[in-house]
Amino acid sequence: MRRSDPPAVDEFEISVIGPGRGECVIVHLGDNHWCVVDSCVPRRLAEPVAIEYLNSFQNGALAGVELIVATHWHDDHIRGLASIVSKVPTASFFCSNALNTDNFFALAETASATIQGASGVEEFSAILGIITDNASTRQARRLASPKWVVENRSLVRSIQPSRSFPVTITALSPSDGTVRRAYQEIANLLPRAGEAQRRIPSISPNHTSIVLWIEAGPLRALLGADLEHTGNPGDGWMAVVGCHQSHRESQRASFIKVPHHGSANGDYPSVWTRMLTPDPLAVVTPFNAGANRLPLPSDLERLAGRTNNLYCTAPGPGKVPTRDSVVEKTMRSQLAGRRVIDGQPGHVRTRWSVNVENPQATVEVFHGAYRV
Amino acid sequence: MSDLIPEISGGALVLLGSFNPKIFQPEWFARQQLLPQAEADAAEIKILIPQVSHFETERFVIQVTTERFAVTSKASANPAPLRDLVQGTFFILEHTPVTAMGLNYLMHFAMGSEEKWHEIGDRLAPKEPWNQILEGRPGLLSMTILTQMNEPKGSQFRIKVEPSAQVQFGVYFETNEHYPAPENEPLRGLMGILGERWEDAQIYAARVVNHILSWARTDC
Amino acid sequence: MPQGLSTTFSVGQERTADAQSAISGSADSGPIFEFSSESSVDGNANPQLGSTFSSLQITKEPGSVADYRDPMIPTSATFQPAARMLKISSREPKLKTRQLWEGTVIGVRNGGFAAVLRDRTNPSNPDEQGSFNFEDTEISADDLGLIHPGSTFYWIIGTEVTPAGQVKNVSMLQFRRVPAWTELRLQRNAESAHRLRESFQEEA
Repeated sequence: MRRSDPPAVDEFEISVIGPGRGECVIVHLGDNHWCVVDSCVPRRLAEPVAIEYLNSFQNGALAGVELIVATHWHDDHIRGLASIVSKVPTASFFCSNALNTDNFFALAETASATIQGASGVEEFSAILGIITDNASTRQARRLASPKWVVENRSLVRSIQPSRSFPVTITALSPSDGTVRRAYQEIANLLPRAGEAQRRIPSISPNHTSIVLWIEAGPLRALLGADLEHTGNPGDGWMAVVGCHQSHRESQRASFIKVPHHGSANGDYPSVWTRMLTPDPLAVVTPFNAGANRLPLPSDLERLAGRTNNLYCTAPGPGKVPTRDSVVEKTMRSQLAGRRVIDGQPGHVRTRWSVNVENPQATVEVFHGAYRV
Repeated sequence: MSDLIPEISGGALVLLGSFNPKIFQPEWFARQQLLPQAEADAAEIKILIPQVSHFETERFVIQVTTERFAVTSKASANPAPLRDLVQGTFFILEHTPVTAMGLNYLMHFAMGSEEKWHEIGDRLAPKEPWNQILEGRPGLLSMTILTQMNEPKGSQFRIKVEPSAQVQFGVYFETNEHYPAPENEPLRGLMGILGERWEDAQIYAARVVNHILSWARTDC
Repeated sequence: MPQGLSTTFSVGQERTADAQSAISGSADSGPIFEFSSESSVDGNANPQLGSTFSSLQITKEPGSVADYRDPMIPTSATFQPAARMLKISSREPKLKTRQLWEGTVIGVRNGGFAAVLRDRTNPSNPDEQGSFNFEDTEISADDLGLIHPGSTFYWIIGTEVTPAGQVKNVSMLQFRRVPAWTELRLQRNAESAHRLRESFQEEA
């Protein structure tokens, strides 16, 4: 099939796109209704991948986006999200309840007022501005406010007879404990009087990440965002597994968007034994920035030991563009460990025909994505 | 075909409004952390009187009258920090009344030969019609093209082309993007435009200029 | 296009005697034809233009306010014949920028820092990352105190032509200078943020 062939109305689709910095998950909920989780751009000045992909169908798919989820506020995960929010004023916008504090709003206000520019918080500030504008012009009452997410909040519960298949989307995180902890971390990011303006860094670990559990007919999927395992039962993956055990112990997902770029920090074995079917379909997005490129070879080895159906969205960092020889020589002499951190946005697409007995996944890879 | 790099280039930011020149002294910029102390200490003061402030640092020329604030980058410096200096200044002086802003770039390009240098002039202002009515050897001295930009309302783009006075067989370009201040929060509006447009204005200027230069580049 | 030594234009490039003798290639400078008049474009055509092509022409050492007014250019103009302000002459070096990066510091360690680099020369190129060592990189003493996670800088790589005519490759890191937050500013941010958040709670 071609990438631009849209799903059938009764096909459940999860598309994971990851260029090497950031990721975007685009979910077809049936009947040309869509959910967009996070956002990334293939390179600066380019359109967000979600807009490019949905528009490629040429069937009005973008207008069918019902919900937009920012799993956390780090800039690599929401780059371009404001653009999507502005193009789909009827979509609901969901984000972590850990951001529903005066401190985070002050951080966003600071980001929009600073002349340093360009951080994830600034993207968030832009989103809040769009929401405010939309509410004031009464373009979309549904968009009157961000929807604040904590564990067990239902984002979508669609069981109408008119829909091709029932869909529910539930948040499994952040836990209350996580939210409380995040409040202090966010407060620590606020600048103090006398400090020079700086770009607000994306701090880690990211406790506020929203993990999503999706049910589409008989199918189950787990989107792991960037959540990490902290060793603390009250937050991270231990809290998620605990929540899952309490509410849907017997249910297992056959698909997982691997958390935190396949890192050891994002790994918690109980997720695989208690929340997933044997040999689930697993998709990991690489991360080329930061101290270490992820996933490490050891991460891929570990993941390959957990499932035979492991896919990665991109083969590695992009090629270094050709520049003037004087420039290249200077850069080589002054810059150590140089690497491109944005790459080609590889795409792993999985589709299931929901209304058949024992639906089987059809996996396609595009633009350099590959099966591990 | 790759774009030519100018032999000499610079930028200038101009604001019209109501200013108090007395404020704008090197030490003030250093105290506000907008200039390194060493650069401020080494500044060459041209004039500092209540109506005019004019001084030069290693990287900038700053000239302020009661109606006009202008910062120019020197040929020995990259114009990128110009935006920071102006944004920083008016982040602090947030109540300054302003009416308009101009983003200016200038570039001198070497054409490499007299023949190619003439090709530019001939393309912009063909000599033949003038040869028929004028004596001697008429040639292009200066040409300015002005156009309206799509948005914001009232904004304009201007480009001037002249033979270069600094580069042999060179062509000199000056571009100007002019923005009237919005009615609502004029300074904030202009600073927002500056933040959004500064890089793009330079890229746009370079694109326009290189397109003109391509008229004389036989390797296109 | 002949370049003449005697011109009457008062805006645009600085045409010092030094510069003229340095570049004049053809001995016979033909008559100059003024293709367009600045004043007719700017002043008469639209006096409300407030165009940003203002002139603060310095033709001699300034001594009074009158030296800062050019009769050819309306005071409402905001364009700047910047070349004249640049003192472009044989007395100053000229920088030819080949590559401009804008970097953001992502980590500081003993001896250097790591940064994400954004290509400002070709913005569509992908971002890159790398580490700078203080001993390999020219950073002014004034700028060293500005290196923190989140601070931003320019990395300029180019060619400099010295007044003596020597050409040398240059590489400079200049940290961006931005004002500090004030108590008043932060309080305003906090109040505005609180109002916005309150409005969302009411509508939720």
